[in-house]
Amino acid sequence: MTVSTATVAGAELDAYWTAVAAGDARAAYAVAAATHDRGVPLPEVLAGLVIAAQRRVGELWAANDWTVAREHAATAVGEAVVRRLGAAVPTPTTGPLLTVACVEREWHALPAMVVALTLRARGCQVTYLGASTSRDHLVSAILDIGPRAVLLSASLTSSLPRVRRQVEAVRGTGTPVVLGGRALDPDGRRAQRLGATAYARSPEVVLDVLAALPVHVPPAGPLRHPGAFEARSIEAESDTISRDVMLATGAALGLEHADGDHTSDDWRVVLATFVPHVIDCVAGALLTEDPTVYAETRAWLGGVLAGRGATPQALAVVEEALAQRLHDHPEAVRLIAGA
Amino acid sequence: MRHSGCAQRREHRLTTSVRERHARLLAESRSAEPRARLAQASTRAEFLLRLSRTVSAIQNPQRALETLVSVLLEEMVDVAQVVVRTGQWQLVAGAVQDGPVHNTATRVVDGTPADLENALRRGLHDDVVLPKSGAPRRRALAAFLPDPELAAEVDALGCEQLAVLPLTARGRSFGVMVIGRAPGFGFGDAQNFLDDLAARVAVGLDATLVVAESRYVASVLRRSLAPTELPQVPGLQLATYYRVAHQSQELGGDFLDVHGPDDDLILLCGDVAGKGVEAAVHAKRIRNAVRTASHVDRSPGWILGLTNSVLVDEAEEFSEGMATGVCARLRPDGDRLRVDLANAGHPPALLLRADGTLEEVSTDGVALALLDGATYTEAQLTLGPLDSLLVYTDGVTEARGVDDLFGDRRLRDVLRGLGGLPPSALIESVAVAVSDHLGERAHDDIAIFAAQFSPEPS
Repeated sequence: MTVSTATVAGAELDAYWTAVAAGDARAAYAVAAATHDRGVPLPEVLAGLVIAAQRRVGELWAANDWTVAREHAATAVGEAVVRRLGAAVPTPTTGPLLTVACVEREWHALPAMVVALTLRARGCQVTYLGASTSRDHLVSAILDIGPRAVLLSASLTSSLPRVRRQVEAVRGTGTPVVLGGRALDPDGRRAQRLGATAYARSPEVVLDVLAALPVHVPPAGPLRHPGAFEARSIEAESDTISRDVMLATGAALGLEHADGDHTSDDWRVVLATFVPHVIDCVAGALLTEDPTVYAETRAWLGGVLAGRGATPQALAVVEEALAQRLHDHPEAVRLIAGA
Repeated sequence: MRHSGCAQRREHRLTTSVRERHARLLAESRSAEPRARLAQASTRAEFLLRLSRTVSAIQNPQRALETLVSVLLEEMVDVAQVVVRTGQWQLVAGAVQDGPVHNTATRVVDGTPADLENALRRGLHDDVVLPKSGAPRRRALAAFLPDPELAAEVDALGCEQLAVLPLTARGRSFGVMVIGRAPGFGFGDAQNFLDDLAARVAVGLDATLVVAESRYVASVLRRSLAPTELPQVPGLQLATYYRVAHQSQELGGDFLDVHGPDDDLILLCGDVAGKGVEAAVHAKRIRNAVRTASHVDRSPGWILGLTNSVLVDEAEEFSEGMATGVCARLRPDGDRLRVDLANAGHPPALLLRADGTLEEVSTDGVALALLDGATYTEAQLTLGPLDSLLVYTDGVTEARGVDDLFGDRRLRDVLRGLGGLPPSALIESVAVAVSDHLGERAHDDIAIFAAQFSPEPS
């Protein structure tokens, strides 16, 4: 067996998962480090342990098997493991300059951290800007660093409108922009519609994607389809739309007298937290002309609410309130009705 | 052998679309046909406009050079090298058709080939006919192409002539562009066009260099003013979140500082009146005062008292000197962390116990720089394993939402149920909630700090 083909063993994933589930960063790191020491390449350790476990964390939270607190604790373990593994990887002083960031208000940092570390381990000079990177911060970094390309990570479909704005910002500097993350579809269609220079399905393919990038790109052309106009208008007043939808939903479901002392795992709190996301997803679906953006979110939120014992009609009520509120946005109304 | 093979392949490729693109810009318009001349003039004008836009969009010097080289190769020539000087640096990017871009940054004092140096100094357009072969040819190439790999590639291409175009802006020559074509192709009557091209490129690059130089100065200042990295202390987990109001300045008036030996750390978290770079400068002075004071006595109340006296003394010079802050002394003690904490007009620190109980650390003290002789009382706390100390600035509670401010209650709601979580998870939960509440609205500087002590079992 050669070193480079070694993969994560089932027992290692089990041991890693036990540590993550216990919120034990030291034990989790010990498993990851031992796996790496055994000859499993770092990118494989990251994909086979850290990312695999994190996917399971998200599923357990969605199914209400885990509380928010437990999910946070497990996520913190994953991040700590990546940081400690990264501390042992030398920082290259040659190789392509790359900038990795999470889209604004995107807090799922782990995938971007993994991409950054995978690329560093393969000899790229990577600057990782962190979770929720603002446009201003991103553009400043581009001007100072002059990266060969910017890699933007987005995990939530509700981030798609902000992805578009950051693609515009990056391309305004002539820099190629590569999108990745679960907010995009595996065929890269959404990425292409949003004006990305390229789409990377996984950290492992990023290097190949980079090799094919142009040196510079022109500014992103404006999106002119009817849905794009509606998306912009929805984004501009998403706050008030979300407040109005919540008020209407609360009235319809008789929630207005709820005293607000619910924990973060109560379905009412989850619903209130995710209504703004639903609205952003409508805008994202319109921008990308991809109704599955909305359909996926709807299915996911339906499952999350059901897992928390929500009133069965809760989602339908939210959708009705949303369609009502957006009545002068025909594309949005059609999207919601078609889901 | 390898070189001639390369050259043949290249020659083959050049006969196709690249050759046609180049011809649109550089073919000699011998025909007196006015329509053909007009068409070329408009193609050239359109190219110059596109090139200017491309160059000025990329405000990073090295990237701008690299891009310029690739555009020139794509649309016009088979050899392109751009050299610019900025401050003490000389930046060079160059490539041949279908070859890699060679990028270097060297110090000006490290030397430049004599002919290139002359071209830089004179600032005059020059056409260089290259000797056919042998050492004279290699010498001529090396005189203009400092990168030996690039010179070898140009040699292999069989290039017969180089055009040396000065880059001049605001009355000074700051760089040189060197271009060449494949054998059999020259620049004919394109002299005026090339001068025009160099002038456009020069204006764009000059602006980029000016921006880069001032960004460099700003980044040096930013590094000295920005919060320092947190120390790595065994068993002590520290996490921070920091977001400034003026994102493009990347500097704000909230400050966080942790320093001292592992077994006796001083934490400072505070907020000066104002925003942006002015606030950051003032914040740095306060951090320095606290660091100095902590070398004399490590009691937080005493440190804040002395810092206050210093600031009051200087208050006339710095009329906007008002600041608030929490200063704490952190000392590991077995599996516990002893904390002495003083507060100067700052939102109270919070203690989140492992079981989820949330306590406010109440100590009194007026804001810094307001009152001469102010004194600060200290609170003593003990953090058990998985207990967390949280300090935040009012940018958190005063984050403006669609209807109201984020407030103390939302902060407590977020923290409820998170007892025992690692500091990074606590900080992130608060940051997400504040960020969701803010949406796209403007905000004040925001800083959050959390500490937890859980020593490795020995």
